[in-house]
Amino acid sequence: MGVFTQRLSGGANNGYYAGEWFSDSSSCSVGIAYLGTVVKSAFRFTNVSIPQGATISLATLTLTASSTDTDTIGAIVFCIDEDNTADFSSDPTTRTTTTTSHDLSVSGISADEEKVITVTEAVQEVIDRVGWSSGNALGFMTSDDTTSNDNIIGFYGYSGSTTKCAYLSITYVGVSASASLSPSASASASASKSASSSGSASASPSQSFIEPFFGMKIAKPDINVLNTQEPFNLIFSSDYGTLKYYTKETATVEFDAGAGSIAGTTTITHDLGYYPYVEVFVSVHIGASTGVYEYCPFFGAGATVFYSANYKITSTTIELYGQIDGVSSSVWTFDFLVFVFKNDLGLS
Amino acid sequence: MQVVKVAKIGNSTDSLDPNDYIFHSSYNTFKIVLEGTKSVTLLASTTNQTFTQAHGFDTFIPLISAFAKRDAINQVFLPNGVDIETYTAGAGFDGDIKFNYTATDSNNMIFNFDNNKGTTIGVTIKYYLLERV
Repeated sequence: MGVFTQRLSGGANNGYYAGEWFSDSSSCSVGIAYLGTVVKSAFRFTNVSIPQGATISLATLTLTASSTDTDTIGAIVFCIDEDNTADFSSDPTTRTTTTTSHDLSVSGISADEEKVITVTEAVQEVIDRVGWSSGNALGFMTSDDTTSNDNIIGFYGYSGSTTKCAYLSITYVGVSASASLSPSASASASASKSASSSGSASASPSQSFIEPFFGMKIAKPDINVLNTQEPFNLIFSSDYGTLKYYTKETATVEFDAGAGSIAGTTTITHDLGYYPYVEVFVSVHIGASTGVYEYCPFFGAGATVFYSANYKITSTTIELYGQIDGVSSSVWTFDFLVFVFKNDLGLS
Repeated sequence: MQVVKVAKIGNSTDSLDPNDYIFHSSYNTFKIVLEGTKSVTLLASTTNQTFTQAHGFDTFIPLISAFAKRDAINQVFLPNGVDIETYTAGAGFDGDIKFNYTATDSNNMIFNFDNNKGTTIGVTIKYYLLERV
């Protein structure tokens, strides 16, 4: 799996049309103008390093509002359906667009609010073009035939903000190598991967490099693993991370409300040196254990008592707490089950 | 049916107990389809503060798991819990910042906090999206 991200890299890579083309504008507008003119914007990303035919798992185009606006628009976004779209120093709005479009509806927006548009299918159309190759430029263009007149939303252009202008993120999976790995000197193309026993490899010099896919996918019953990228159709996919289960710990907090305590605490040490992903469950009881566990943190209530359990994670410990609030003279027990994973939260 | 099984050390791959396995293809796994952080600033003395961020999945609503950490405070707190600042056996635990809940809808991740301090508070949220709800 690979991830390509890029914010616009120059003024000639964006602009908008409102009866005429304005390249390198500080704000790129979308919607329909006062007299009914469709206002279009275009965004271009360069050196898009995704192999031809790669599977796009998720592509998003993020636009950031350049001002607060109460207008409502029902625009759509296409990709420009070209192998390597040229910059936008001249009007690009007559260029062919992809068959697939994606919704860009906005109903009021605040200044600096991000609008994230999923553009997976449109990007896939371009990446699937025979003439596409890694490193080419990819363009997006908006259109609008549903918005009422005089409703326009403005998004930052490159010259308006180099840190808030359009941003593209594409997660992709490389395709199976079409160039067979073969001990022969010939360069036959093959739809499937095949590996030679000698380990030597040759690929057709006439073919552009296609990133091979190395990984493992296991589909759920009745799902064809070759026809799905949806994670919910898969038991396992090496394209996605998993939680790395480290250890299960048990701990008990007990206190005697009759003796004046309303809370207790205990600590589990993990010593991982970072804040780990943790799941905690707790069983609260007076007397014998009920064996009934609830997700923690939680709040509960009995006839005369509120009770709650909570915990905090440090880089070396998990500190567990139980407490009650109300009238009680009983001994309260909080049995905790703590599942620690080695996934680093990465918080600092 | 063919299966892929990886047993824990000391266990047989003939075991019928899923707890004996690191991985077993007959059982689904939580796949992390997206993870990331979001920094928010909680307004002073304000409860029920909601923050959203688009998740970008248009074919399903993902399940979310989230953790929060205040700037310069070396502990992590959880949804439905306060960021514990004080504790005694006689008074219990308490804190001014509460992570009320996290949720997802068809478009967004949603995070909701209370801030009962008289100052703004910076919080970083770590989120994991784990398949669909």
